[in-house]
Amino acid sequence: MKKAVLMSLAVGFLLSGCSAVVVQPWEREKLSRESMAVDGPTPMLGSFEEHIRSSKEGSRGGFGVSGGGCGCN
Amino acid sequence: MRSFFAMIFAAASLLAIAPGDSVDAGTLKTMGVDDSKITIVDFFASWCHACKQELPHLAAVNGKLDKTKVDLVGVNIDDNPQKGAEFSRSLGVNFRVVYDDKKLVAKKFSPRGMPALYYLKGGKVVKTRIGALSGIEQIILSDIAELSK
Repeated sequence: MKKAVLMSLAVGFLLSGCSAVVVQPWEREKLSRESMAVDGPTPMLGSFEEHIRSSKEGSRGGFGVSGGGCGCN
Repeated sequence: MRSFFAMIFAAASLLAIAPGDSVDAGTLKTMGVDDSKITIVDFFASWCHACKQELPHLAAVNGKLDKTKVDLVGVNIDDNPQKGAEFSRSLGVNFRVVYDDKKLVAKKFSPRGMPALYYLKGGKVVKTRIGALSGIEQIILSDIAELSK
């Protein structure tokens, strides 16, 4: 029991290791590169890939999010 | 967990230079600060979009400053100083720029955000302006008027 608690504590500690890293404002050059964006350097490419996928697979949807509930979509 | 992060941020903010703190002689020398003048230090980088907006305003305000009393120094923190120099040139930066690619000056000041303005007087930080502010030209001129009293 004691061993399991110690093991889970150790795993928790190791997993939280990276979360304690604070990127300082002057260290954000690499993070601000276009290639670091969630959609990659060419965000439009995602919609083309989705179009190809839907054409080949015959199915679509399940990506991204729908409207925000404002009734405008 | 929340308190753990709060502790980390508190520790980081403790390291940051705040109004009333002295700047060491080595850092002042690196920036070429003249102790007899009020020096405005601006931290900027080519990857910082807010800096891109702010720099032309700083160049404009530099033309209005009394150079016998006030000095404006830019600290570029790009990893590649050449990129920083090209960026400064493209925006018409007309004040002296120190290239801090090793981040030695940036680490000393530890600005909370970018762009960051520090006003130095007699080797001490007397005022800070962190982040992009609208009407920065007028803000700087009124800050200088206040600090010159």
